[in-house]
Amino acid sequence: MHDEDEILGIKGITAENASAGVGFVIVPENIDIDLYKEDVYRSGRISIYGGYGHSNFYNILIDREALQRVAFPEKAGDMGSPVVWINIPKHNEPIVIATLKYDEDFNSLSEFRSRTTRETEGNLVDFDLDAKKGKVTLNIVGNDTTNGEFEVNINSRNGKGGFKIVVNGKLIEKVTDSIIKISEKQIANVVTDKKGVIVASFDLNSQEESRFTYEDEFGNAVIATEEKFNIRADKSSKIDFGDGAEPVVLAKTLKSLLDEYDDAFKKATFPTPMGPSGTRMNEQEFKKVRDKFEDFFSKLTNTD
Amino acid sequence: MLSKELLIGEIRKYNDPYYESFVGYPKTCQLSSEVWPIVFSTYAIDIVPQTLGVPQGEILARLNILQICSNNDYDIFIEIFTRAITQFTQMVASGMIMVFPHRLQGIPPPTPINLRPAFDAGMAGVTAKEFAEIFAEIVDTWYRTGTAVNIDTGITVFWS
Repeated sequence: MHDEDEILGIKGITAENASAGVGFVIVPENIDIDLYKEDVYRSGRISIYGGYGHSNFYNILIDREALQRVAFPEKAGDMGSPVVWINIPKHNEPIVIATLKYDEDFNSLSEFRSRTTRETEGNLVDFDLDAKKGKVTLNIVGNDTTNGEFEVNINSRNGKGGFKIVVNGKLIEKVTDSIIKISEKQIANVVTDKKGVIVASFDLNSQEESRFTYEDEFGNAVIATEEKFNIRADKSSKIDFGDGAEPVVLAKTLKSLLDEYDDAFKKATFPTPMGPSGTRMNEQEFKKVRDKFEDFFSKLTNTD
Repeated sequence: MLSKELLIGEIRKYNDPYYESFVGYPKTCQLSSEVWPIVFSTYAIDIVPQTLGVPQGEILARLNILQICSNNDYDIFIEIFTRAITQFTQMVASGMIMVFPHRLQGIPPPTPINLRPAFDAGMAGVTAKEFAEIFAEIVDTWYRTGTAVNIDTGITVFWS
């Protein structure tokens, strides 16, 4: 802790013998406003007009919290936020301890409600805590050149930083562009019943053999590994593509049946007016077709 | 002499792979139109009374049967085939007077031949042998109703 004399000194800036007052934030003449503001935030000292009956107080201390809510005038000669200052006799230097409602603030506050708003050049950030409604609202608005961003950075040396949201109800994410989730290890979504038993899960994983896994209580699963993309329906034993109006053909079984059919057809004769016909005479043509039966085997897909 | 057994054997040569003398199915319809007139000729060549009309009958039969190749209708097939054997038989009959001493006038069977029962049986799936037997029975029975009249004595004999 600093000694108070170190902070304030004992000569100070004259407060014209008043113990407190209400003044306004000002900007000194002949000074670059932006540089001045930077200096204010860095030093924690500000210039104010001391109010009726007082002159200007330059370079006086301001409470850090109050400083966060200060609005500066746009040019020298104008008034910024109204502030409350007090004068500590020993030090004889006014200190800004609070800001009052600024004329241009548009957020009306009520009991059990706290709101912080900052706006400049079309950019706005607004943090509203409303206990009556049990609601916290964070509004962020960018202008034509800024994007409007909300950024949470969490880091820990052990790499186990956490960010947890627990909602007894809905969590809604709505965007007009993309939702992108990036993880170096795993992205998992799990749905459980009221007892916490998993009924459906979706998992993207860079560590496991399966990079993508979907599983549910019905025995359905989609598992993507380096070797294959596997779709299972162990319980229902039914996988439909589209409306599933027709069954998928089992190629090996079909080939086997076609071989049997061709063997039988090879021996087939047909009744004619003069007795049964002979067997087919274009055997070579049939053989050529039969030799191509395995051409209809899919090299990509297998099924049971 | 007319021989039903000979006719059965001739037919089975071309339609019955289980027959020891089977020579193979005619591979085309055109070949089939040549085979059947040969079957007729082989059956009728030794008919009594003798005739010189078989070769001409064979030609007529071939021309008729060729028409089957451009028509798959079953009823038309029967009609054409019936016409083929009928015209063949007419030539057999007319060839009898040509045999020296030119005294026998051949007269074809008086009633039209009805081959439909044989062909219907074929379509119903009888064996080649059974078809040959049914067909030969109809033809042989019908042939034996043909006659020849001695133009000097008026004596009539049945074909045999």
